[in-house]
Amino acid sequence: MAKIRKNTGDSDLIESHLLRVGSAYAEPYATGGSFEATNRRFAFADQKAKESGWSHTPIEEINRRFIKLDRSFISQLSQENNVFSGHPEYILREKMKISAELLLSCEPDVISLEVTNEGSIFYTWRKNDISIYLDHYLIEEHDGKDEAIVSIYKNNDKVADFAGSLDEVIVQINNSLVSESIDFPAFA
Amino acid sequence: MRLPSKITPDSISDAVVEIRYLSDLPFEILLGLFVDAFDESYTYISRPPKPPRPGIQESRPRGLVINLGGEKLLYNDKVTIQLRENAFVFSCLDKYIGWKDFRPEIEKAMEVVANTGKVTKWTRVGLRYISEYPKTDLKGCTNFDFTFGLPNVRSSSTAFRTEFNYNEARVILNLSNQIPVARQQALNKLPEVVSTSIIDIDVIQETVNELDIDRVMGIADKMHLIEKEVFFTLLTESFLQTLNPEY
Repeated sequence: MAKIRKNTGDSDLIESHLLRVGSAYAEPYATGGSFEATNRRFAFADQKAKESGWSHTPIEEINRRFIKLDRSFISQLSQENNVFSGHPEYILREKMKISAELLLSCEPDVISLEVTNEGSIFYTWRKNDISIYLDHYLIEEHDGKDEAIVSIYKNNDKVADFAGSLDEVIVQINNSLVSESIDFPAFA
Repeated sequence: MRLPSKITPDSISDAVVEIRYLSDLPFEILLGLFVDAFDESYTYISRPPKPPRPGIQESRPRGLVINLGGEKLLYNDKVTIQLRENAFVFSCLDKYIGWKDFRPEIEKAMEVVANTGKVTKWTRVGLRYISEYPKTDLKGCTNFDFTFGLPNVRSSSTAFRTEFNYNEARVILNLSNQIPVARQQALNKLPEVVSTSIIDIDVIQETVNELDIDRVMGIADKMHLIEKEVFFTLLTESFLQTLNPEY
């Protein structure tokens, strides 16, 4: 059996290591911590307050929204068995996670999804006066990547329509919304 | 002091219990063992790693960057559990369900984890409740007057933080009074800034050295009681009456 490193519980050592390797685990704990850790959170909150209003809690509301989308997806997936037959639920969920995470990352006011009988997830996304309707195709691929179609509206006026791979669509959304200070991250 | 068992509205925006552990196995192995131990009433999902934002990538050291993945989550119809390298973090799936319902969910999950036999020690119990009051001035609601050495100054917003030991627990109390918060008031409208007050109480037992789940849950009960004592001691009697306390 291969030798394995023990989990020593040395949080400082682990955190510094995780920070070095760019891990998502290198984050403040949900409760307590040192003065330093709490102060870091407050400094962040203070910065957020200056930028765009007070970010009231370090605990990630995004987890709850992510889970709601996941539950909705699983529930609807079971009703579209014939469309997705031969495609393992695990793979479909992995694909959903990518688009859901991207759309949640900009903290929308409203987000919902609908599994269509064309084998796609149709997202409705709203923030302020911007609406995005994104179709993420889970079965068909475009040059080996998931295909997507997006329509962007400001108030009721169409800003852009675009079709391509999911990556390309995210770039297009960012280009269209650059003046709105809304920026979707792109997966490397 | 007689502590209410329930207030309405409770205004709790977040209630989190974090229980830390030690194990002889690395997390990537533990994760599979823990998830496998939970029954079908729980669903596992991992959020993808945080995507890089412009500017972040450039500031990182060049060379190989290993990404260990994003948030690992288990959830059922009541609670979510974040699985972390040295901790389980419990929170309610939707609104706060009350300690009477929240506690058994924590205990049930802890027993599942303990039965894997992979946790060598429970090392720390933390409990954090955040209550949020829009359009409320805490000065009139709490036994805290938010003044300092310049009596003529009227602060538009105030943040106060203190850390103290109370009944052998460490308490971190944050009071934020009338802080501007951007809130969505109506769909398709720009958010409005609403002054919001926050009472954030974090109660921690740091030097836990237990393997017995009953004892760990006993500590969680104690942390919860301390949180209630601090919270209700803070409130003025008149404000408490507006919260419809039940005993």
